[in-house]
Amino acid sequence: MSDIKKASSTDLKKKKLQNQLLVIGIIAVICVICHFLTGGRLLMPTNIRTILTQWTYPLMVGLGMMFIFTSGMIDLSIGAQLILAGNVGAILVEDFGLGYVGLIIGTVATLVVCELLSASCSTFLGIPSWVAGLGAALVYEAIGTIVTSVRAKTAGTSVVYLKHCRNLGTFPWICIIALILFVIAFFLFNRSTLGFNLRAVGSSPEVAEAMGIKRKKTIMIAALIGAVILGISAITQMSYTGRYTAMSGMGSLSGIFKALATILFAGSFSKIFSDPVGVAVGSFIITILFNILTLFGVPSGTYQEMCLGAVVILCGILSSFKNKGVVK
Amino acid sequence: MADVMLKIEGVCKSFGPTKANNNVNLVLKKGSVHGLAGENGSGKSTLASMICGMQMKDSGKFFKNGQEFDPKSPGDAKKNGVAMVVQELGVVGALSGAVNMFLGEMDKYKKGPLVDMKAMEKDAYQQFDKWNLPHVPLDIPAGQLQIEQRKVMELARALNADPDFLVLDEISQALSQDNREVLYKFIKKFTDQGKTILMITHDLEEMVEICDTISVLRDGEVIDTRASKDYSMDELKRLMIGREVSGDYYRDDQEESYEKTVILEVKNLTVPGKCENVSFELHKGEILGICGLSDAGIHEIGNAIFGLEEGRRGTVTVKTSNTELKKPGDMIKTKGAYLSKDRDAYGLMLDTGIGDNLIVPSVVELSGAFGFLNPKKTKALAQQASEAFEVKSSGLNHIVRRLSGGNKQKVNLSRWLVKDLDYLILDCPTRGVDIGVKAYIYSVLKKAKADGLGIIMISDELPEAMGMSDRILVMKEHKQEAILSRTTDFTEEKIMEVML
Repeated sequence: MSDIKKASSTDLKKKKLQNQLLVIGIIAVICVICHFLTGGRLLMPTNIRTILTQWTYPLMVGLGMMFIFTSGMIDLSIGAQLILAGNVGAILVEDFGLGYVGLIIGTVATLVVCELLSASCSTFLGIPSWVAGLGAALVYEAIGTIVTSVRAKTAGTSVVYLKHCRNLGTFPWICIIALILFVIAFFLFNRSTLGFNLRAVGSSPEVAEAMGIKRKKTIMIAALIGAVILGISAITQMSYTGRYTAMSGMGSLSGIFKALATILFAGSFSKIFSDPVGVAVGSFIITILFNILTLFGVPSGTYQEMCLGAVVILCGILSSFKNKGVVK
Repeated sequence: MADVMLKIEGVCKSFGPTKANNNVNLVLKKGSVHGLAGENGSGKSTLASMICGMQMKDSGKFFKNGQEFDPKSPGDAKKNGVAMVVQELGVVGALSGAVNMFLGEMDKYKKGPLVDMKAMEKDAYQQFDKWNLPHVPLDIPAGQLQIEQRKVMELARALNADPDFLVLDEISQALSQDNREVLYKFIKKFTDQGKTILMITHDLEEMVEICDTISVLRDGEVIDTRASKDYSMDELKRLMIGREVSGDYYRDDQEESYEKTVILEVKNLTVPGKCENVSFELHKGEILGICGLSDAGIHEIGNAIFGLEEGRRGTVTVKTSNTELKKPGDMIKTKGAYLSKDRDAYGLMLDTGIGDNLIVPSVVELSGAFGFLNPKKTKALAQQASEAFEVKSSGLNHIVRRLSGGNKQKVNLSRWLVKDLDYLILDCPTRGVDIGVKAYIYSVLKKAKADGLGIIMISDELPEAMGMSDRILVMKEHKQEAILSRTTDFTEEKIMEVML
């Protein structure tokens, strides 16, 4: 019996590797084709640098969301948290002169507090996470709007521009930070006790609890880790773009749509890539897609978003083919 | 008292108005196998889950090794030397087998901030070797393991805590003949060390053979306890059900009997690594059994005929309409049906009502103009199926997840049999059902056969295949080894000889 099992185990691994190479190969081929179609602009060094830089934000936000969503929490307030935290960090730099310390601590601390509050609502009060997330999003958006409008009276502008301490958003630092975060997230998710406990809680809370895993503690730790990663992504984004515009009426959701799409991609291709790699590949595909569309002259906004939606649906279709085999 | 492992005193448990256990008193001795017999819904699994800390008792007491024992969680039970392989507890499909085996206790494998996967896998296999359990792949997601492999893995996982009391709830039902033998050897080795097993199984012959003592539960109460050798099979059945059950519920004829008309023709069916060159014909009114040892590829044949296996080669043709079956929809269009071994995952909509489950296969026939369902017709069909198959429930809105295993299978089977079918593929149709439901399912199949239905019955239980089939196709190492005839070949020795 064991020989047959070992053979099938090896076959599955081999098939997985083949599929991984296939996906990466397809992406590479598409990039080369698009390079020629865009008149040799796509893979130019300057454009590659732009792609790498723009890849970092959906990658980092996707990794942060991965920890939170895997625990079973669908927290839709993350977009509002990012905006609020980024603005708090920027105010501490610009209005209080606290420099990098203010930027880093202010942003990360705000995100940690907001995320733990959202997580507590669903974990300890039993409110469905998406309901708690929507409620929290409205609250955080309102706080962000109030903070910036109060500031407008004193500083004369409602938008907080980060003019100093922007090195963390420049190339190559932004890519180095994203790479370090990816490596940490990969090992935490795939090779640590927390990662295994988290995946067990997210997949089957009953089994996890029966095995002695503390469900609530695991969810809160995952939320904390996710919040720290999101905090760092907010810092780099604030440093890169120089501002986070406060939004209301759930407008903040649009800011995390690309990251949401990467989570969907990672989930759809979970049989081929582990979740962190899926997030990395998914965010790269989405980034390069938008870059190609821009090079083709497709107007940003409506048409580019339409293409993003189409890619997301395509990912779903492709992954459903892979799930055809029944495992009994 | 020194030889008593677990004493149960006046334990009661209710779910709303339903008394699952009522004043249960039992004494389980050290070094013994204690069987719990009873119909589906008699309270066996509830009692086991309370001992394991999965549910809290309402009143009464447990004493383990003379000390009061009141587990608040499975972890708590584990600390007290109680482990389980129970129906309710599964595996985390997304995680590897090795991780599943050490979930909740991975700190000992920490190597800095990470987990030492190799050490974990090594220890896991040592556990398999320690108890002579067959190895299963532990480096792939547990969700990709077969039920049988998962059960073996769950058993090894339960043994990690080095328990002195083990609950086995219907584990053997998921195992094929050879792995059952492995299980029996394990049970002997375990109890020889002075440890105790509480065993729940619907296979009464197995229970009488393996257990030292048997307690019979009916309607949540223990109605009889005695040494297993003191029970006759008929008496045990009568005590469980509360009425006489005929001694032989299989067919009583010894001849192959079916019409000449071929309904289904399978030619050179091959799924790489799973089954090779399987060819047979299914006739009108025939029950064709498919048997084999574990990994012989018997379950894959059902999947492959239905069109679920990727890379399938060969042909499956419905001769009545000359249609080749390529995908699941083709089977339904040609008046066929397939019932998977894993009815919870691939058969039933567990969180919807019985009524909805019963009408699902018939929605096309029940649809009126513009595809809308006729409420009167749907309700009538659901009612008819539910009543005809005696599904025990509070009504058509009763959620299927809350039904016992036997009633779930009745819902699963009845919704197809109320249709006008030509052929039916059943994979382990009596898995996890009690003796009463089993007898009922066999009677339904005998009637369906008499009405001309062609049935392929894949079975892990040789007595069942021999008792019900006209012919048995024997698989060995993924290949078709022989097709044996009821008239001339049906002896256990002969079939086992072909299997081995």
